[in-house]
Amino acid sequence: MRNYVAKRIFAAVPLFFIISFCSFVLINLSPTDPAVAALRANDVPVITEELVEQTRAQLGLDQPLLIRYGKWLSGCLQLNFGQSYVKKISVSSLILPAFLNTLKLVTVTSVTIILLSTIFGVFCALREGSKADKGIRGILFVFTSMPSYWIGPLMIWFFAVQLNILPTSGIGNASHYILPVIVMSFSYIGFYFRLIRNSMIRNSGENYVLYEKASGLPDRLVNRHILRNSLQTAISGFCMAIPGMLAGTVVVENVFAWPGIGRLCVSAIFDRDLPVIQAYIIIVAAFFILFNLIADLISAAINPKQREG
Amino acid sequence: MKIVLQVSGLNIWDSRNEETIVKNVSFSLKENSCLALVGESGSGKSMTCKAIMGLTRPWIRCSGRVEFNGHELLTLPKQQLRRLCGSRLCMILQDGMSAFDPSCVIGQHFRETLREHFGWTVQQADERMVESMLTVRLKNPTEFLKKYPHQLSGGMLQRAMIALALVLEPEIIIADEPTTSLDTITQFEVMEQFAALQKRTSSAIIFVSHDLGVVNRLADTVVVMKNGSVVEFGSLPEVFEQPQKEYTRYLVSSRQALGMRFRQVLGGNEPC
Repeated sequence: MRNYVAKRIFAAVPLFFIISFCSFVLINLSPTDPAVAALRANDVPVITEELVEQTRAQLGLDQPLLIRYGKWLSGCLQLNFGQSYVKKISVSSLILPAFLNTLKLVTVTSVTIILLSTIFGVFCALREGSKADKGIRGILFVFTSMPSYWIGPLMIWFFAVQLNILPTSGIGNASHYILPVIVMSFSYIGFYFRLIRNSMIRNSGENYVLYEKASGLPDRLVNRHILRNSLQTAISGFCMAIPGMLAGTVVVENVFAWPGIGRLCVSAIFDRDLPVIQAYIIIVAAFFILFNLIADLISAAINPKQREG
Repeated sequence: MKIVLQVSGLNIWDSRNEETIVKNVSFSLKENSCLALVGESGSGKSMTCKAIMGLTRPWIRCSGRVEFNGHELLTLPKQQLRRLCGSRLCMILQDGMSAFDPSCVIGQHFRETLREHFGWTVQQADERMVESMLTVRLKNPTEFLKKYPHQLSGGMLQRAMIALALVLEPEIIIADEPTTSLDTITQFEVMEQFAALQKRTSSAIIFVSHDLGVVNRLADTVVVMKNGSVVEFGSLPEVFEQPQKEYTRYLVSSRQALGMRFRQVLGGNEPC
């Protein structure tokens, strides 16, 4: 196991460098000249050739690509992502608080999704084909199909306006989490609960379950073995969903005015604020790599075959 | 001899499509004897065994009577039947490789089973298992307990199941094609262990097989099944030497023909 962990961590490092280089090059290949973008962002009325040259030198854009990449990367590793073109303050002071807000929302949502999908998944698998199973599957299917930009405002209208029991938007105490967390989890629970349910039903027909029952093990123990073997697909899938949520909560953040990274990034894209966009990409990429690693380690802990491979 | 298991008029059907799987099966198992269930695949042998132990899937329904030492197994409450499974009725499966939870070490299954039936601690369970595994000629049993199923071979796992049965000392052992997925040499070794198991314990054995050579070596009584029904039921010499039914004659003669061919190839005169 120790070897496997070392191997996986070691493999993650070059992956990070490759992704950071690709994202840097791709952003620089975009047709917008960063210097022009920076000038536009500051509402400079007439953009002359001379002014562009000057800005380019000022922003260090006249240096070769590799040197710029090196400087940027070493800055990133110290959480220094450069200056925002638009807001004229350091990108980290913009992006880190926003990122923390998103992280809080995603953490609460993830715990909710894991708990509810496991509970519903196990419940339905043990009662396969019953009315309860069919009912839960139907209801969750309906919720999963509702787009968050629609169900979000609907819930605000009902819970915050009509019943006036929850805040409409913004970030504050625990009650601010309830609506965005519900809306975000809806789209995931329907999916992961099904993965767990189907995988448990498939596993319960396996020979080892037959032998455990034939050996007289109580249902509680047999079901624990079934669940342990069924969680694997759901875990790998879910570990990839967490960074996905970190990167793509734009809709929910906008609906609930949550000052998170998704909103920040969308406004940065409109303003062509390249340092912010780059910082966003590198942070999200780093989290994808991190969660990929976590998924591998968890499934290795569950599945002894993977440890050796 | 006392009868330990009496199956009478057992019917099994699939409630989803009302398809009959086993029809009116009756046989009896005497104390300390070995009964072989013989027939081609799909003849309902395995399903009969599963139904006896109440291990069929929820949509499979059974009717008839299965009497085991005064208990009527088909109508016994689930909890009580579960307590009988393992301690008094034991099963050995066909494929050792898939019979153990792939995410746990082998020892875990033994510990959980023995704790459930005898309330033994991990140490007690391991001690008894190590002892028993040595008698079925498994090397390094202490190491064996720490291995995962995929690190072991089918034959070894098969013997581990026999070792567990030895510790549990049940009244009936149901072995569902225990030698089918093994190569010839391992098959022979496992067979030897079954013969020894019969001697060592007073358990009665139900041995499911389509290999008549294996049956010839172990069984006292034979039940021949075809398409879910019993074709013939009698003692081994009766069924093998004076088969009454066309199908049994066909089974026995095809086996003999194979044996003849085998002898020709080897050039020997040993009866097969």
